[in-house]
Amino acid sequence: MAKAKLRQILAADKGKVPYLERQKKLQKEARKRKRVQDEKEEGSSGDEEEDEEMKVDGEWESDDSEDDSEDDERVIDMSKLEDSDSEEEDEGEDEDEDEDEEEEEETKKAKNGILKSSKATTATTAADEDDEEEDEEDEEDIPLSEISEEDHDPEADIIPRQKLTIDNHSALTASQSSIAIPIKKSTPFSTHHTIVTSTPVEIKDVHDDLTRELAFYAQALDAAKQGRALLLAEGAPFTRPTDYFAEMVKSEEHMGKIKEKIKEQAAMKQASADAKRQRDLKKFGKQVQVARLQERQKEKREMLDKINVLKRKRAGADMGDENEGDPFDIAIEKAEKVNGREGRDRRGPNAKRQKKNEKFGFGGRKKFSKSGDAASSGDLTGFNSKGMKKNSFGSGKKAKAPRPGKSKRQGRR
Amino acid sequence: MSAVLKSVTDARSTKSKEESTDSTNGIDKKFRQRVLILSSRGVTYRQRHLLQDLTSLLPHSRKDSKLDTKSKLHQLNELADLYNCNNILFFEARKREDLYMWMSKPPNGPTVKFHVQNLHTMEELHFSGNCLKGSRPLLSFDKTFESKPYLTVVKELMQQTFGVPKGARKSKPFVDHVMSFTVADGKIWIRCYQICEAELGKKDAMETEEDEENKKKAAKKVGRSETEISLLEIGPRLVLTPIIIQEGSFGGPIIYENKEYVSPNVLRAEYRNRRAQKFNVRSAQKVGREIKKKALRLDKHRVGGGGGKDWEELQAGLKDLFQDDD
Repeated sequence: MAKAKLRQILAADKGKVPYLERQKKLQKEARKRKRVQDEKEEGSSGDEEEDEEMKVDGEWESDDSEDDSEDDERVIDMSKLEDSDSEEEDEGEDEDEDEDEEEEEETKKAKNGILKSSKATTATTAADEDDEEEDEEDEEDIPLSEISEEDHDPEADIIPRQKLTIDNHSALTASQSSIAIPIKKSTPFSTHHTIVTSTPVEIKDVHDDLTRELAFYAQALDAAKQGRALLLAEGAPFTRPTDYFAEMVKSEEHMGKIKEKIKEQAAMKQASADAKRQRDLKKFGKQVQVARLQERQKEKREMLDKINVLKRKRAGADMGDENEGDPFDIAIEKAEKVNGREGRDRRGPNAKRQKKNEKFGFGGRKKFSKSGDAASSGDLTGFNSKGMKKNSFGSGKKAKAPRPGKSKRQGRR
Repeated sequence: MSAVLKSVTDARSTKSKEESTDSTNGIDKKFRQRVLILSSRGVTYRQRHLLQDLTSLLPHSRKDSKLDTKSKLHQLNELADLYNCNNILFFEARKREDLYMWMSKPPNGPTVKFHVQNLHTMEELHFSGNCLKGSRPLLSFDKTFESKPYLTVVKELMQQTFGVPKGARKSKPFVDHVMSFTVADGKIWIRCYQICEAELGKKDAMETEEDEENKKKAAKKVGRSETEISLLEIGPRLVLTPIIIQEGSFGGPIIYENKEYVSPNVLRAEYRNRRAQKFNVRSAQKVGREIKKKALRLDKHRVGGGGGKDWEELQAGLKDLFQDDD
C-alpha cells in the first residue's frame, strides 16, 4: 500500500529526532496490545476499528494543527457523521482535548465491559489513557512530521512540545479532600490565616518585571489589609508593640549590610547626579566664558574706534586752525598718505640697523678711523692754555686749591 | 516588655480556652502541622541558603541532614514518621544546577514535584524588609488556585506547609508578614513581604476642619483602620513549575502531569544541537564534495579498467550520504 510506504518514509524521517524514538517504541507496543485486544473483543469487525482510528486521527489533527484546520475539520466531521451510527453519540461533539479523552475512556470501558474495583480505578484509567494516547499517536503522521521539520529549522523558536498528559480530575479532588483542613465560615481566621483573592490575578506580560512584581505586591497588600481587619475584628494580636524585641529573620549583621548597600546606592546615585550637573554646568560655563570674551573684545574695539574718531577729530581741528582756507591742504594730506613708505624712510633705519650698519661696514671705510688726520690735528677745541700753565711739566704754581679744614667741610655739608 | 507580652498571651490563652470550650479539641489537632525540610546531596550554596531562609521563616519546621539517595525517596516517609512530621519539603538537586522541590503529606497524602527556577535567596536580594523569627504569616493565594483540580491540591499542600499553625512551638503571637502565592504563566510565584503599619501623622489629621470632619466620618465607617499599610519585600523569591502529582507520598500512581513542562535537560540538549547544526551541515557538505570528486575521477578510470576499489568506496560513501540525508 502507498500509505504504508509513506508511513515508512515518515518513520525514517522521524527516526532522526531523538525524543520521537521513544514514542515510536511505545507506539509499537500499543499497536501490538491493541491487536491482541481486538482479537479478544471482536474478531469480525476489524473495519470498524480502523474507522475509529481514522476518527481519532482526525480529532488529533484538529487539536494540533490550528492554522489550517478549517478544511480538515469539515472532512473530519463528515467522517464522524459516517461513523456515528456505529459509535456512541457523545463522541460526535468536538470539544476540549481532555474532555474528549475522558469520554473516550469511558466509552471504551463500557465496551470492554470490565468491572473495575474502586481502588484500582486510578491505575487502570491511567494505563487506559496511555493506550489511548499511543493509539492516537499511531496515526498522527502529518503533525509529527511537521514538528520534526520545525525541529530541523535552526531559526525556529523552542516550542514547548504539547505532550499528552495525565490529568485525573477525580483522583485529584479525592486526594485534595483527603488532606484538606476543614475550614468553615465559623472557624476563626486566626487559625488558618489564609486569604484567597476575590478575582484571579492577571498579569499581562509575565516577563515584564515591573508589572509582574506590582501585581504580586497588590495581591499581598490586599491580603494584608483584609487579614488585619479580620484579625482585629476577632481580637487577635496583630501589631507588634514597639517595646517587644525578639530575634528577627534577618540578623543585625545582615541588616547592617543591607543598610550599607542602600547607603552606597544612594551615594552612587547622588554622585552620578552631581557629576551630571557638573558636566552640564561645564558645558554652560564654557558658553558663558566665550560670550564674555566676545563681549570684552567688542568693548575694546568700540573704545578704540571712539579714540580713533576723537584723534581724527582733534587732528582735523588742528589742521583747520593752522591753515584755514588753504585749498590745498587736502591734497597734501592725500599725497602724504600715498607716500606712506617714503615718509617712513625719511626717518631712516631703526637703531639696531644703524648700529649694525656702523659695525659691519655700511658707513664707509673704518680702517684709519682712529688715527689722526689733518682735521683732528687742526682741531683745537680741547686745548686749554691754563692747563698748560698748571701742571703740564710739574712746574708752576700749585693749581689745585688746598683741601679746606674739617670745620669748613662740616659746615659746607 | 514582658508585661505587654504577658497581657497579650493572657488574652490569647483566655481566648483559646473559650474556643476549646466552644468546640472540641479535635480541630486544633487537625490544624497542627510540622514540616520536615531537607535536601538531597549535591546542593549548591544558593540552594542551601534557600533552605536556610525557609527554615527561618517556618518555625514549625524540622531541618534534617542531607538525604543520601535520590532514587529511594520513599525513605522520607519513615524519616517524617521518626520526626513526627506530617509535611515534607524535600529539595532535590541535580547536576549542580537544577533544583526540584517535592512537597508531600507523608503517610498517604499526595506528592507534588516542582521545578524551582528564578531562585534568589534573602542574602543576595538585599531587601530592606524584615520580620520576627517565628511570627505567623498571612497566606495570600491567587483565585486561580481554585480553578483547576491540580491547583487546588497544590494550594492545600502549600497552605499546610507554609502556614504556621496557631500555637506552634516557636511561633510569636504577632503578624508581621505576608506570603503570596500567585499563578502566572503556568507557574507558581512565591513572594514574602513585611507588613509596615504607619499611623497617619497628626499633620495630616489636622489639615483643615473639613478634612477632619471627613476623616471622622471615615473613621466611624472603617473603625480602627486609621493606619496605613505598606509592604516591604523580605525575600526569598522563587518560581515553581509543577511537574507531576502522585497520589501517594513519594509513590503511587501519577494523577497529574504537566504537559507544558519542558525538562531543563531537553532545553540544554536542544540548545547544544542547534549550535552543532552548523558543523554538521558543513561536515555533510564536505563528505558530499569528496564523493563527487571521487566519482569524477572514477569516470576516467572506468573508461580504461572500470570498477575496482575506488568504486566500492564510492558505493559506501553514497550509502552513508543517503542515510545521513534521511
